[in-house]
Amino acid sequence: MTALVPALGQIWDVEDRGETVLARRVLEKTASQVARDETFAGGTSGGFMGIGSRADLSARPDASVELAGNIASLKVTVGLPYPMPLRQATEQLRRRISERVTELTGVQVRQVDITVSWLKPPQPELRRRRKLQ
Amino acid sequence: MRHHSGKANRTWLIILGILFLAAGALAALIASGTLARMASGSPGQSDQVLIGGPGFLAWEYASWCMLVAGLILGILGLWWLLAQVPRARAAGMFRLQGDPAHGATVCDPQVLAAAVAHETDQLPGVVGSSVRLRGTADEPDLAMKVTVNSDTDVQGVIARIQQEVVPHLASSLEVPLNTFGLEIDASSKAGAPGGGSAVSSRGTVVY
Repeated sequence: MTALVPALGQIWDVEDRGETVLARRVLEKTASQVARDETFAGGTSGGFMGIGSRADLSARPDASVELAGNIASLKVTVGLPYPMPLRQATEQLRRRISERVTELTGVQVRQVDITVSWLKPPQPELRRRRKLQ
Repeated sequence: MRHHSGKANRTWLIILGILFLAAGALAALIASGTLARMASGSPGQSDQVLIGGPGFLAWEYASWCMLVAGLILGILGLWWLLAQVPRARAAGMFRLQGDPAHGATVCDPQVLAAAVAHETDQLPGVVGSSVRLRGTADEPDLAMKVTVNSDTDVQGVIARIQQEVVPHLASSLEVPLNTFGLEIDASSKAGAPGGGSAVSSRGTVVY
């Protein structure tokens, strides 16, 4: 395939125009961002090198990608609120990640392995003083 | 949840039963003389009843064969004896996926147990709890030990566990529990601010 560049008056091959490389880390961040923004899943925050980190539903879940050409397999470690139907929630998470990562990056997601690493029960209401209206 | 070696017990009891039944039948036949009549003729006093028996025992390696057979029987007996020790049912990761082609979903049962324990600890009057979740994601076994304050309405705590805590776990796994065991341990530990000796009683088991 050839392309015409009128400004220079030259004909360039597609291969000579350069290549676009999508780093694996981009896919991982995209997947974890989608999981955080568009599902109930959360990640961990704080700590140092994984020590002392705490469950945080507003944090991005961990994601890792194995890339083979244009096909990706993802592994996502998430936390979820409790109680919640885990099969339904993780199936929804899997479907959402697959669709959105493919849509945003053009990489076909073959499978998404999900590990539920923690569950966050509802916190009891704190007995604080309330200002009277 | 503990399970016993019921299958091995049944197998070996069947084998022993058949052997003893055969031995009993043989003894009855010998005692009644039926066996002798069935044979070609009754042996005389000087006749050899076990033909070839001394020959086998006189074989060079007969003692070694008997020793090996004894060892095998001893090992099998020891294995059967050890199999009687009740042991906890092993629990692997709970697999929750619907279609494996699109990926697997796993959850450590300890994660679920921690959530159940946390919810139980929030109930009024509960001092502490320990939760064990075993089995599989499709047939979960839940065992709980809950320590309550001695001043607490125990029936109320049990009712809330049965009506709130357990249904929450079942709805999370989307399957009913296979088995559920609850042990209530009453203690005055948290209800004695002035110190004093903690009195505990246990033994209320609800299934």
